[in-house]
Amino acid sequence: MATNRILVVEDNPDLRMLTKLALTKKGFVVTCAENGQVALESIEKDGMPDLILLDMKMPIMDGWEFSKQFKEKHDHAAPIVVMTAAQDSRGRAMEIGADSFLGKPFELDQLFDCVKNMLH
Amino acid sequence: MSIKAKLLLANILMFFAALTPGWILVGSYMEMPKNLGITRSVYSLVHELTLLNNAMVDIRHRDIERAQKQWIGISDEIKGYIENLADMGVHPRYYETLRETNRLIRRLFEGVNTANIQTLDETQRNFLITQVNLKTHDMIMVGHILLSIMQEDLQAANDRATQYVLAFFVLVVVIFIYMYWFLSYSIVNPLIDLEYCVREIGKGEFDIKVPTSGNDEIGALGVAVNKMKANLKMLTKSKEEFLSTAAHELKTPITVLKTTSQLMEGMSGEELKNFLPYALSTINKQCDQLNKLVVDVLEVSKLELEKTELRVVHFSMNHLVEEVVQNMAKISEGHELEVIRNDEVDIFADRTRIEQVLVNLIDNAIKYSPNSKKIEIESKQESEKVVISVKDYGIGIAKSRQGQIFERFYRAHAGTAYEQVTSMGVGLFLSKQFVLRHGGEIKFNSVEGEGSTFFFSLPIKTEVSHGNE
Repeated sequence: MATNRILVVEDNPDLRMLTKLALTKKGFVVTCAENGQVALESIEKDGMPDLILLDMKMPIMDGWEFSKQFKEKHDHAAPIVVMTAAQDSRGRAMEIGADSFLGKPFELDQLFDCVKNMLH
Repeated sequence: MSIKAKLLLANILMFFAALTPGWILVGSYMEMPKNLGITRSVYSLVHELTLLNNAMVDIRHRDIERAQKQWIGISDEIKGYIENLADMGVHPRYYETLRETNRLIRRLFEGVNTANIQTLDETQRNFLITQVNLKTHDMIMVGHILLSIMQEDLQAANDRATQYVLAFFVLVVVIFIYMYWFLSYSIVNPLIDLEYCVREIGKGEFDIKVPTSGNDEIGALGVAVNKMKANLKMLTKSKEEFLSTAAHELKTPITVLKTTSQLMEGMSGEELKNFLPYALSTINKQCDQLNKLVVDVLEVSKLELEKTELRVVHFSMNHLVEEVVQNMAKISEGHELEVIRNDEVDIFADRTRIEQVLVNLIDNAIKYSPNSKKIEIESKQESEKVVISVKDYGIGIAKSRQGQIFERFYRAHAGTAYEQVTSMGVGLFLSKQFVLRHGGEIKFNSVEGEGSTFFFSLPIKTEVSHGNE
């Protein structure tokens, strides 16, 4: 399996680190960003990832704004998985036209399944 | 017109409505003695007229002297009664003829005496008797006619009075109907409308339009209900936001804890050993975070129930400032907390609560200055109080939102790019309540885009207020 690169956009530093750790252990290459703006810069700099894990509520640039700009600039070139603590996570995903969603708190297995599904 | 004025008007109308039949009754009662007097005089007159019959009998028996004597007496009586009637205001048309006839007969009798009666021959005597008979007869007739005319007139007057009473009764009924319509239209109907609105608001229907027209008390009530509706709407919205934010805020540390534990499950040996210190500190930090959220929520509900009690102790304010700044500096990533001035002051206050206030203010300063790292803290003594300020050079607060920032569940940055910053909208609300309970003040200056400075003051020789504010 070719090494897939995943971009984790999450403002909580612990969660960002832990997600990265978990995915790295599964053999993915993980890039992190603490908000939408940093994520966009990272895409410019490091190229398009194979999958984006996106938190919604973040300072400076939130998930909504990020997905809007991402679609405009990059024509939705990578699938987006929304990670949200909102009650209606499916609704959140539909709001921004994401490809899948994970409701916080999630099982690590759920995360892996979701990532695998998205990459195949 | 106010309701008071309307009720006053209704009372006045009712007073007059009740007065009218009362006045008629009083009027007829006042008339009664006079009417009785007239009736009595008229019946006396009729009685006198019957006496005339006797006089006529005497004349027929040729006892002229006796007849003359009787006649003059009766005539005097009749004259007296007629004068009575005149005194009582009876119209002359009722008694004029009677008076004239009476005068004529009297003159006739005065001209007659025993002496010249004896000189009268049979023809003359018969003529006199006939004359007297005729006049007497006339007089009796006139008297009876007078009586019946008066009875008819009295009857007519009675009928008229009855008509008046009926007319007034109709008028009173009309006044009452009008008043019913007027009061129900201008008081009861608006109240029914208002009651409907309040019931709808009670069901949570905040978009209903409350009538505020009318410059009376109901209009004012409508305005007050509208204001209450707006407040309720805002509070409900804030509470809904608070619940959703609280759920969100609670889920974040739970997610971190869960992910940490699951990661550890998949580890062993050296890897687990290396991960352990991080895991433990994370668990500790997230538990603190969860605890703070729970404490905040409880404090808010306690404050709402006005149950908060201050545990006043004597402590050094400058030590507290140093301690808080040191702790906050550890937690914040990259912000520079600078204590510009820290006067040595000892105060009586609830140390935990004042610490909470200071932590909240510094926490806000850190959260809302993502791009500027400098935060200045100052504590100085000003005569009888100590003033602590926290200044940041961050995003500031928009003018339009400055009025509400101390309200509970209010998040000044909701809907802006900074909304996502961890906030439940209770920090400043709690801070203000705590400071007020100490008899202090909390204020701020803020310019959007340039930063904010929050000040709070505490009295030094504190007589702690245990009141609500």
